[in-house]
Amino acid sequence: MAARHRSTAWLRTLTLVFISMVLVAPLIAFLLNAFARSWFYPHLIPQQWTLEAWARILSPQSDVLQAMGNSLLIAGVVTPTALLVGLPAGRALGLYTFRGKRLVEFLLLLPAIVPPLAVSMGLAVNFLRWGLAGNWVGVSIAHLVPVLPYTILIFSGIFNQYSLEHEQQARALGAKSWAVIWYVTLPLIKPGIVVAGLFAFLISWSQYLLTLLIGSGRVITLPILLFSSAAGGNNLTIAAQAILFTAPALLLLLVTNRLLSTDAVSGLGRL
Amino acid sequence: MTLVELNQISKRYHGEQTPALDQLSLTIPSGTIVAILGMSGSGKTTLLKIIAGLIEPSAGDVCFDGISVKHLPTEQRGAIMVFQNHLLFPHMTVEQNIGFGLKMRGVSRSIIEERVATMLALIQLPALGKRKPAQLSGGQQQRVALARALIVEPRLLLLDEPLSNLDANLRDEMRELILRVQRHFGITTLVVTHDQQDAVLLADHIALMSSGRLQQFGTPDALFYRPADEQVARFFGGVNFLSGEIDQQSIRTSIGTFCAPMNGASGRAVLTIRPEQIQFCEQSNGTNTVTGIVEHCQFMGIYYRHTVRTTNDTRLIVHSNTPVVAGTTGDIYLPPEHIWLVRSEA
Amino acid sequence: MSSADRVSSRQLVLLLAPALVLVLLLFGGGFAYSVLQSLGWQPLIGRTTLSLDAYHNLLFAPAYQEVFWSGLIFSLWVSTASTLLSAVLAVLIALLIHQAVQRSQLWSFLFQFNLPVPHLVAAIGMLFLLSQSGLVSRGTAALGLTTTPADFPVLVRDTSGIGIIIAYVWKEMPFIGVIVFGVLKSLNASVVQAARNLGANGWQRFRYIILPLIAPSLLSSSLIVFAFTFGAYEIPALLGVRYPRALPVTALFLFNDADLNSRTEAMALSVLITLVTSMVIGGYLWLRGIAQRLG
Repeated sequence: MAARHRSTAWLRTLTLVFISMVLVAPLIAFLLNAFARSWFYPHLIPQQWTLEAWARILSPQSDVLQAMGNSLLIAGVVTPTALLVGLPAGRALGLYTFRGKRLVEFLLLLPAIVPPLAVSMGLAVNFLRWGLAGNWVGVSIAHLVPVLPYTILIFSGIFNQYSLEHEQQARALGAKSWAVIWYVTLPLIKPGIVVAGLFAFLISWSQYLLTLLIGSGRVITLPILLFSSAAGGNNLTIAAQAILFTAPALLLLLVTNRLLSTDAVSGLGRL
Repeated sequence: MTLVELNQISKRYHGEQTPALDQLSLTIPSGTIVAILGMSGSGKTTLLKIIAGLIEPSAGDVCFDGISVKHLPTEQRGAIMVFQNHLLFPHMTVEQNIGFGLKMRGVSRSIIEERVATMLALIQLPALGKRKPAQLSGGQQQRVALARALIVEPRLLLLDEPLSNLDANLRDEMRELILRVQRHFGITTLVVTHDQQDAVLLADHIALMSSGRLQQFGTPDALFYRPADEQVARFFGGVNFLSGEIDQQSIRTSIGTFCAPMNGASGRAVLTIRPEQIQFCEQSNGTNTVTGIVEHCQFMGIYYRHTVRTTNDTRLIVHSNTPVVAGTTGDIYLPPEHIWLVRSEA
Repeated sequence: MSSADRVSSRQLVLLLAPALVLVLLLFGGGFAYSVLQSLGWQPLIGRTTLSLDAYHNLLFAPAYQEVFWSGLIFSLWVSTASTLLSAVLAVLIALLIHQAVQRSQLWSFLFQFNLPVPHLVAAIGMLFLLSQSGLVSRGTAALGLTTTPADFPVLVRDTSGIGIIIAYVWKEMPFIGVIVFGVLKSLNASVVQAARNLGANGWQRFRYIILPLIAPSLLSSSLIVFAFTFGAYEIPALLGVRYPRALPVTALFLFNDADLNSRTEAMALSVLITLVTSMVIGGYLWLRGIAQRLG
C-alpha cells in the first residue's frame, strides 16, 4: 500500500508541475519578448537582446509614461473616494441587520457582476451632455461603478468580524465621535483599509471598456495604449507595456498575500 | 463475534520524542465490550484509529480472528468507528446517513429502506428519518451515528468517547442503548473513554492506558481492588499508599506492621487500601490497627471523608457513613483481606 | 453581527446614503438611460417616441439579424465551453492540491498568481503563445512536429473562438479553483474518513460526499464565469475575427458607428446582453442562498 501511495504522489506532483508551467507560460512569453531585439521563427529564445523598449518607455516624450500618469491619476482619485464612500456602507452592512438589507446588499453589489457594456454606453452619452466625457474627471467618476461594490464587499466582511465593544469602551471613557473613529475604529480595521484600497486601485487601473467609452478616446490610460499597441504588432513594445501594466497587480498580490481571504483573492479574478 | 489481537503496536510521530503508542499488546475476547480507559494523551484514540485502519502503525500487527488485517485498507476491514463528534454527513438525511454503508456495498434500495427502518426503531427515533443532522440534538446525532455503524454488521464496533459530549441523563440512555445493542448483536465492541465510571458501567473488561502503554487489562473489579501498580490504583481513586518491607506474611511500614495477602510480592512493596474499607474501631485489638487523630471530616453527600493523622504525620483517608468529629482520637483497623500490595516504584 | 445593536435609522441612512446615491445615479442612471435609448428615445436627433423597433431590427432586420444570431450562438458557445472547461479543470486541480497534503500551501499559490493578471494581458499572452509563429508553434517545430508556421493550426483569431476559450480558461480556472479549494479545505476531513471507514472507495467518496458539498460554490462561481464571459469585451475583441463576432464586440462596433441611428441598436444589444447575464446572476444568488444554508 505504501508503494501505491508513492507512485500516485509522483503522478500528482508531475501533473501539478505541468499545470504550473502552463499557467506561467504567457508571463514568460512577455518577459522574453520585452527584451528581445530580434526573435524570429523558429527560434525558441531571442536571438538578440535589448533594452531599447525600456529606454523608449522611460524617455520623457514616451506616450507610455503619459498613459501611466493618467492611469495613476485616475486610480489615485478613485481609490480614496471609493474608500470614503465604501467604508460607511460596508460598516452598515457588516454590523447591522435591518429591514430591506438584502435588497440594499443586492443593489450595492450589482455593478460588480453586471457587464459594464450597457451601463458604460448610457453613462457615455450622458456624460457628453454634462461635459464629463473625454476628460479624467468623468472617467474617474465612472470608475466608481465597478470599484465601489468591491470596497463595500471587503469592508462588509471586515465589519462582520468586528466588535463594537472597543468603540463603546472609548465612548464610555469620554471620547467624542471623531476621536472614536480616529483612535479606535480606523486603527482596528487598518488591514481591511489596505486590502480595500488595493482592490480599488487595481480595478480602476485595469479598466478598459469604461475608460474607452467615457474617455471618448481622448483619455489615454495604460490599458488603452496597450490595446492599440496589441492591434498594431510590435511585440517588443507590446510586451514591455504589458509588463508595466501587470506589474503593480502582481507586486501587490505578493505583498498582501497573507492579508487576503479566499473571497478577496477570488474577487481579484474580476480584474 | 471477532477476536481481536494487537501485537506490539507502536506509533511514532515524526519529530516527537515520545511515541504515541509503545509496544502495546492486547487480546480482546470475541463478543465482549472492552473499555480502553485513560487520560487524554494516553494514546487511546490513536489505538482505535489504528485498529480501524485510519492510521498506520509504525510497528506491530493487528489480527482479526487470527488473520492479520494490517494491509487491509479501512474501507475493507469491517471495523466500523463511531467518532466522538458523530461526523454525520451534513448534506444527507438521517435515513441516507444510516443507509450509507449499505449503499456503498451495492445493496438494493428496498432492502436498505427496510433495514434503515429497523435501525431507526432500534435507536428509538422512528419519526426523524427525513431530518438533516443539523436539526437533531446531540444525543440524537450520536444515536444516528451508532445506527449508521451497526447496520453494516461490522466485525468490530469502535466507539470513540460515545458519552463524553452528553449530559448526565442522556449519558444513562446512551449507555443503556450501547449495552442493549451489544447484547443483542454480540459484536465485539471497543469503547474509548476517559471516564472511569463509564468504563466500569459499560465494560466486560477494561484496558487502562497511560502514555501509550498498557497499564493493566482486566475486569472492572480487578482494576478497582487489585490494581497492577500505584498508578492504576490512583486512577481508580486509591489514596492510601504506605511503602514498606515485606517480612514473612506481613508488611512493615512506618506506622506499623500489617498482615496482608502476599500475592507473590517480596522485598519492598507498597500497601494500598481503599478508603471505604478502613474501619473506625472501638479499641485496639492489636493486629492491623493504628492509632490516629481525625484532622478533618468532610461531608461528601453519600459518605463522610475523614483525614486521619497517624504516627509520623502519615495521613490515611477513611470513608464512612457516619461522621467522626474532627479532633477525636481513636483506632482505625485495616482488614487484611482488603489490603492489596503493589510493586514499589522506588 | 448583532441585530440587537441599537442603531437609529438616521444613522443607517447616513452610512448607506453616499454609496446608494452613487450606485443609483451612476449604475442605475446609466443603465436606465441605455434602456431608454434602446427604446428609441434620442432627444439629440429629435426622437422622443418609444418603440421596440431596435430590438425587432436586431432579431429580424436583414441589416442586423445575421450579425445578431451568429453572434449570440458564438457568445453562448464560447461562454459555455469556457465555463465547463474551467470548472472541470478547477475541480480536478483543487482535488490534486488538496491531496498533496505536504506542500498544499505552495501549490495553492498556483491558483492565485495569475488572478491579478488583467484579461487584456491574458489575451495578449495567448497571442504570443498560440499564434502560428508563436512560442508553442516554435516548440512543436523544435520537436519536429511542424516545419513552418502554416503547419501549426490556427488557434487565435479563428472562427471557432478557440483562442478566446483558451484565454478565458487560463484566467477563470484559477478563479473557480480558489473558491472550490477554499471549500475543500473547510470540509471536515474526518467526514471523508468516516465515509471511507464505512466502505466508500475513492470514487464513491468524491461522488457522494465531496461533490455534493462543493456543488453550490462550484455552481455559483461557474455561473459568475458564464455571465462574465458572455458580456466581456476585451478578449473577444483582441482574439476574435470579424465573423462570427461576439455580441459585446458587435455592440461597441454599432455604438461607434458614424450613423447615430445605429446607436439605438447598439443600446438594444447591450441591454439584451445585460438581460441574459442578469438571468444567470439570478441563478447564482439563488444557489448562494442554498450554500449558505448548508454551511
